[in-house]
Amino acid sequence: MSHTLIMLGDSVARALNDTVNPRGTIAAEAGGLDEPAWRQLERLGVVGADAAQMSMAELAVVIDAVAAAGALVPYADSEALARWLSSAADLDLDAAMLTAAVADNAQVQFGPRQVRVAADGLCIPWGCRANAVLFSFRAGERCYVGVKSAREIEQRRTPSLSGEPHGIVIGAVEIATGDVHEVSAARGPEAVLQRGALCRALQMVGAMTRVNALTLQYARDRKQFKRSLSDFQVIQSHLAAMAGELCAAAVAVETAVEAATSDDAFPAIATAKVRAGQAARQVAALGHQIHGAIGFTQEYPLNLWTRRLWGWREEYGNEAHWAAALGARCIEQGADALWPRLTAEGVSHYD
Amino acid sequence: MNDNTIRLKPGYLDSRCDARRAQVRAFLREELEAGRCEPQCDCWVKGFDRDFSRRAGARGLLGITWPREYGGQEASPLERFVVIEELLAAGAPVGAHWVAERQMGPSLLRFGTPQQKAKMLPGIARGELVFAAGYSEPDVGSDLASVRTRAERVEGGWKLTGTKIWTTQGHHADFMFVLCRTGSAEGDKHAGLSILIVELPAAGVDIRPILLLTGEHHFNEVNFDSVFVPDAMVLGQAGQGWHIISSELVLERSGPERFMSTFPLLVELVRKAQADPGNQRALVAVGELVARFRALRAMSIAVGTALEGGESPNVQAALVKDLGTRFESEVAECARLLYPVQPSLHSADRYTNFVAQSVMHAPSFTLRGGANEVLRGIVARGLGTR
Repeated sequence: MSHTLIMLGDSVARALNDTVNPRGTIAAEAGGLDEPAWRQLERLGVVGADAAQMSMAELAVVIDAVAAAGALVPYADSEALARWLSSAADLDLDAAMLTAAVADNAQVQFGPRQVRVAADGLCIPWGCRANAVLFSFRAGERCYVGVKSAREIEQRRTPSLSGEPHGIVIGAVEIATGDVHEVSAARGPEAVLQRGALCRALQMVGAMTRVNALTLQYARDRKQFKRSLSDFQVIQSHLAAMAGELCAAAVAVETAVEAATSDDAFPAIATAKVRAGQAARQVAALGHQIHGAIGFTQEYPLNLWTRRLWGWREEYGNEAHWAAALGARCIEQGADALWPRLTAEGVSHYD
Repeated sequence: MNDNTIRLKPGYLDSRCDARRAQVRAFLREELEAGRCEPQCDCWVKGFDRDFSRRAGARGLLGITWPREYGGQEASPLERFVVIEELLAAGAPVGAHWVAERQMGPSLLRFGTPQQKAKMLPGIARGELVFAAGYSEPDVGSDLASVRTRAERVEGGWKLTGTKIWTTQGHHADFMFVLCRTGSAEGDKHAGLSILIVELPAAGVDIRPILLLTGEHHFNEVNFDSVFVPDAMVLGQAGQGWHIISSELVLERSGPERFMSTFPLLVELVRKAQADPGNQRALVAVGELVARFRALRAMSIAVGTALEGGESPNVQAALVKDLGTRFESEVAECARLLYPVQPSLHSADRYTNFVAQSVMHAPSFTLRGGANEVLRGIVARGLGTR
């Protein structure tokens, strides 16, 4: 990672450190947004028109820092996903807090004034707090982005395990024809799903980094039987297992960020989401096990990150979704192509 | 954000690696077509074939990172990474040169005298010399610094006495690295250890087989009864043994053999799934294994890149081995539950055979090269908890 990227990540982490605290985050869950944290990100110049100019690598370090801070803000959804879509559709939404939703399998009807997307039951991440929702859908071979004010979408407020203000669409969504734009397949539903999965994987690594740090500190500080927890071999073994899962997920995710701009990012992104999800399960479980009862309370901050891990691993396709997709591709290519494909993909390959 | 987070920067393979890959694949294709190479699981232990190793050496696939004067090609460590991952993916019988090329060669290069290098390195690079590691002892497994094999000073060299155990390929070995005590065990037990190189056969060396639970003969018990080792065959300085062994182990832990021992079974599992379209469980299972594999390979390349950059990522290497060896067993468990067979080492069916090989060899995956529990101790130390 370049020096500039590290500096960007550090500056976001420092700024959020001044603004975000566990008590404030829990209190913000009622309203679904930590407004001071969002304003802080605006001041830092990583939101809106500025974000539209950022590379995936730059977005990635901000996503990581926001997730590690546990800030209740839709940074990934608004800036790395929806902003990227809006720039493709040439929409002027610079001032708005956005979110994206993939309605890949929805039936779509084009009327004279409205496009009707049969998205009943679709979950819109941050749907109850974002200003506008960018729907990604397709009709036949063609891919579209349709934008609609979140307020005008009938949704059932359904906060996620992370306390994020998600909404479930009730009935069909009707979007004014003028707000529907055709986009290339590179910004179609499949691509949005992939980029969303990459964002969630990045967020999970940020949260796991924090769970790991909290747990290490707790194991050092907490004394039982007149010894620190971290003096017990069985606890050291848990801590090592946690570190291994985190390291594996981080490498897989960083590799996927680099592959994101290649012709075929799918295997790297599928790997990242599966591996981060697998790691999230272990890291959250071990973090709680080592913390004991205090970690199971709202008062102690561990839950801010473990709840996010449990929420994020389900979004934009969970481990089973991406494993099935990756497995299907490997099986379709065949046993004899497995090794050549594993070594040919651009993932860890560079000149 | 936390000093104790263990991270790895992704590494890269460059175009020289592509050329190497093509070179190895051409060699393997010839071997397969000529029927000289039968794929198997855990091939770097199970597959012992001196002729194969000689042919690999003749094709310039061994010791490629070493200086030209010792039979090397001054290639990069990542080029070597590509060579060995290709050999492992093919399940090729690489056991005759594996240990020598992986750890003894680099140790000789780093610590050996010019005479020692000239005597042994070219032979390893030609795939002619088999080496064994005489490290473990009957009462000393994970706690290697407590070895009791002793060497007494005699005129012109040392007189070696003691017993080594679990000595893989000891019965084939041309040379054995023997970890022994040459100085006092009082105080720091890591001091006073040395590596003596014993050229075999030698008077006073008795090698007895210890069969694996499969009935295979790889392990041995090796007894040294006042074996004379000349000064010229002490590796590095007397007393430097622990340092030598520790540097060897980093090389030993993070390579692709720590997650590819059952790769041939993964290939056959995909073949089963190919013939079973629409099996959703198979898609998920294959995808999960492939995702784990890809992450491990990225980690291993990252460690290789760090080594190439002069770093010594021993904590990360321990992580790769802990995760990788557990993955190797996972492949076997996943396969047997998804496509059940009556496993047999004597089956003519490749898949059935690979399941049997993987299940029967799995106990050693998480033991050899440092038991995973010991490795987790290294990681815990890296986290600052010990």
